[in-house]
Amino acid sequence: MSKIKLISSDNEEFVVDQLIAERSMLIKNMLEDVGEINVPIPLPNVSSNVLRKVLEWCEHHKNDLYSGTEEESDIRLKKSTDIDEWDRKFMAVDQEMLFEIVLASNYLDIKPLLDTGCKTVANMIRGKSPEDIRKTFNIPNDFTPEEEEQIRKENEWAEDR
Amino acid sequence: MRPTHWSSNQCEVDFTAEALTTLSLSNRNHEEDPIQPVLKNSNLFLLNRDIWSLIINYLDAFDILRLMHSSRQFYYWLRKSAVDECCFNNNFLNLQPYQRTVPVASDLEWATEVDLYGNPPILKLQLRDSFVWSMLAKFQGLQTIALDGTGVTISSVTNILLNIPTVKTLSIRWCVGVCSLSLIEFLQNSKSRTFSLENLYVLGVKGLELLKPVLLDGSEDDTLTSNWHSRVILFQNALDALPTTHGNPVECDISRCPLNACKIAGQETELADLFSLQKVPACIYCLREWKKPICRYCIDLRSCLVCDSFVCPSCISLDFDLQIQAFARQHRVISTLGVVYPEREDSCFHKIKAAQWHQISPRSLLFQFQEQNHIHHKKIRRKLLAAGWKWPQSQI
Repeated sequence: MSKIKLISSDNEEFVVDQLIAERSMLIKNMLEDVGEINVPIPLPNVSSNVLRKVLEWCEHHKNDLYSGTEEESDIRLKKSTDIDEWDRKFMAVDQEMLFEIVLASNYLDIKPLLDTGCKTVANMIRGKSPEDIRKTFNIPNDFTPEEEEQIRKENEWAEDR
Repeated sequence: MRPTHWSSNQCEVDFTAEALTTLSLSNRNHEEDPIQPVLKNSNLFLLNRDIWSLIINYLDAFDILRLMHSSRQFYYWLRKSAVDECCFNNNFLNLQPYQRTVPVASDLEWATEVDLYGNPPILKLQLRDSFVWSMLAKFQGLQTIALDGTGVTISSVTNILLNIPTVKTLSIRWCVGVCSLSLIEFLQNSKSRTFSLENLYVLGVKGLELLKPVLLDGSEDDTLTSNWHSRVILFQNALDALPTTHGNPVECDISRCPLNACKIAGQETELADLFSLQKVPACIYCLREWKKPICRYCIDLRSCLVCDSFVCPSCISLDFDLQIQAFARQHRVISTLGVVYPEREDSCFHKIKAAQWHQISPRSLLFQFQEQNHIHHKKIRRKLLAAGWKWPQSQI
């Protein structure tokens, strides 16, 4: 099996199997463009800590078969918000790491990991009040009291739930 | 309060600029601050709209609403999304992720999901009339509004049609809270107004279901079936009579054969959707295209099965004609053989006999169709018998 060298933003080198690295469409496309696999691939947007986690996920899912059809992917997206046990434990990290994994998967174009991360974040939001959402994501409340009252009236229809 | 000219786009720009400024100041003044990475990643994450477009796919309307209340950034963005969520267009490839939360599913997909899982998972029953009412101002100017699978009632339909003059396509498929009789009543009472509506999709509302209604024990009931048939016709008639700015009848996604020949013969179409009905060819006699879909059975009664020439109901009506019984009996035989041996020939007996279509009456032309079909039937039968085919035992 061919080996690929990846370089994180803090210049740490990771040598991984090509099959694992190509879970990332970004890396896969870069390899196809370059035409050879001996050239180190810099990943300036991903730190070593995050890259290590991402590669762990890719290693675990290296034998998964994913449909390349966008339509089929969308159907799964519409129908399922479940996360399998391994992925759920994988995503049980602190908020900073979770955000970085989602950002990295978006940058590296690893759609299944991105979907899992988005589902995890969605589960963190579900059922929470606006104030709880602010606390969870460290969002400052930048509405004026008058604006908050206006918004409340505008969306009064939803208050029965 | 901010000035009235303050726009959501300006708010978004200001908030983004403020966030970036905060991030920049944080980098400059607190390079060694231990919370800096969290703030940096948090802001990058919160500002990444592509990612949040995916996240909200997994939230229901109420969670999205609460997220909207959490900050200005989400408020102004999701308010726009809330409007877009209730719209769709035919170019699915250009849809944003959040617009897929109200997809237009195929009828078969819906029916399959109902059979397998109960209510389809993409039903949004929590979106009710109060939601539509609160969104009316935001809906202004829209040409397409899809509320498929929501919990709205006739009140929302009337509000949209009466208060949004620009709407051309309204889809309320599988809105089980909408009563077809109320919808028919609204259409019948709206003749004094003019609508720009071009398409109204209603399959699945109460009384216009895909399949015939049944009793609680699953058995069929003649009265329920008859009422179901009648509602489809009433709805079609009321919709056809609706005044429009474009002068054409409003298109809808349900229909039922308007002729009676199939009913007399016991071959009436059960499904009130266009899949079971056929668009007919142009009439060979008057050369006009018949607008209403007709069931396969009634088309075949008026067609040459060899060359598919067709005589429309305007040129000759077979309804309650004594000849219909003979045609019906013959048609059943031809249909059976046609399925087994769908052969077509280039020459037609009726074309040989008729130099000009208008030299004979439509009735005579139709008789020639049937005569040709009979001859065609005999040829098929001889070939099948020669090839070893035998008539099914149950039909002897």
